[in-house]
Amino acid sequence: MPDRPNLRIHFYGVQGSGSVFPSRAERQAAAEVSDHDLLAQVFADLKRHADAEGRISATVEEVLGGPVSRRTLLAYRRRFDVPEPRVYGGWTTCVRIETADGHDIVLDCGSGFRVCAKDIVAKWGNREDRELTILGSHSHYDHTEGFDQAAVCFDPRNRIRICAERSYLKALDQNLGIFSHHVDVNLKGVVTPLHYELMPAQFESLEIRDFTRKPPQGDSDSLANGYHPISEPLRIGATTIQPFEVFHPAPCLAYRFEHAGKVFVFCTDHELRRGDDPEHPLQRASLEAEARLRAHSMDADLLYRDGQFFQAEYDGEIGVSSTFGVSRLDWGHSCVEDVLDMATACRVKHTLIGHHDPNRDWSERNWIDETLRRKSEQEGLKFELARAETVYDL
Amino acid sequence: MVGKKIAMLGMWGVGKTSLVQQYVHSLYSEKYHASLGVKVDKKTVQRADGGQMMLMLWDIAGAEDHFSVPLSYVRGAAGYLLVMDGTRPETLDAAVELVETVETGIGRLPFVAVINKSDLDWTFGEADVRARFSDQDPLILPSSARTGENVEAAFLALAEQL
Repeated sequence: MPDRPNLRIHFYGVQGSGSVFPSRAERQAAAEVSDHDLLAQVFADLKRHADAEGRISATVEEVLGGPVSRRTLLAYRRRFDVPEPRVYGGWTTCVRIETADGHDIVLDCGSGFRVCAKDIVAKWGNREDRELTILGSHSHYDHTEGFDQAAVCFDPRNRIRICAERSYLKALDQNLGIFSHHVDVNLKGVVTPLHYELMPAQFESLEIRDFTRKPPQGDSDSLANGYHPISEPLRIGATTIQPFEVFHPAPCLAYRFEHAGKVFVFCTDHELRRGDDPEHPLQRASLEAEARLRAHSMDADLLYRDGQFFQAEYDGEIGVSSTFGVSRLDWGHSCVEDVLDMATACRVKHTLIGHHDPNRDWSERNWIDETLRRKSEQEGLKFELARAETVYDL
Repeated sequence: MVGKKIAMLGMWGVGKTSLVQQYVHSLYSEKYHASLGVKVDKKTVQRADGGQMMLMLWDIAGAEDHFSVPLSYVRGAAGYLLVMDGTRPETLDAAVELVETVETGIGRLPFVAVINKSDLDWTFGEADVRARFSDQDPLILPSSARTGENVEAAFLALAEQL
């Protein structure tokens, strides 16, 4: 691993739709797995003190390496490496990228943005360069809800540039007025007590727009301080970022990052539609978006992609962690099986499947991930469920 | 026509998908593809009493160490095929755990125990399986998804119990 990776990617939240707090049953299931692993190792260790008949002949002090105390107990515990329980969901979508040339870029402001912002504030300290770029995918609440809880928004020295499709900018602005400096009197204080007068950071907006469909009429408007054509990459230092449209009920962008030849593709909330009519306008739009995603993902080093459902769940044969199924056509999310097909066809080295359904329980997520591990061995490519609080270096 | 949900249960790699593919599509692949989640296939069968029954075959990914098959996939099943790999004794242990999980979480359901891969050398057999399931006393069949041995017979035998 290089000392200073080209791209260091922090996943703060990968949960779809809503944040998930582990239930008591899930906590107990996780503890049981850890307990089993620990006990298996402890008894393997005790075998060292067993005679030919398996009888243990040792004092507690000999096993522990000293009299029983907090220190010796913890020292004994540290001999054994027990994997921590995997956290697949947690906060809603927020990813941060640190580039080798010192830039911080955030993808989406789900509830994970609160934790992400704490890390940024701690990293920046009192330094002079205090610019953050946020790239938004789409306007839905689970991609914006963390914005007004983020410490980075409350320091007047901070300059926060938000680049996104117009509806994302509007979703942030309509309740907070951070770009337009205006909140409708009927909205002020309704969704959040906060608004631009209480959020002293400097906010700028850059609307990513398809100029061929809607060319800008001027340099800016009350919502967008500037415009950027979707066909052109954004450049932040040595990082090139290509936005592109994917398929979702709201206008939605995915992004391809490239830095010194390393490629990361971020694609949350995209549906490869599985309708019956290939001529249906939505079906065609979905397939066109999928083709764009494939083109941008060829030979990528890391891909994060929405895989909220299994096909049987999408088709309504079964619910998510429930027997009651309902069709998920046009819910805006893809099937795990389609993600694997796409990632294999595109030779993506490492695929993280995210935007987890909040109803899928912890044990099932682990069960799926174990199968993905076996599929990875078969394909020679790595597939796994995305986890919160993970970091990848490219 | 009566429709019945049948769950395919067993540890990973025992041949659940191959049995379904052989039964429904008369296909067999030498290459192992780990199943993911669940895939549903359908097949109409003629019962001994002359009636027809639509079997909805829920091919559920195998149980893993620590993480068994989620019961939400099994609920609503009228019965299940419990599949073991005769070359891997740990698949018998896993089968015992699966039956315990189903009976604790859902209740007792009819099942047929299938010892798959009869075309290979087994390390355990029918007597071992019978000893572990003496309480349930299921029908136990040797099978091979590769040769087709007892594939149809296993599904039909289960259908007759539903």
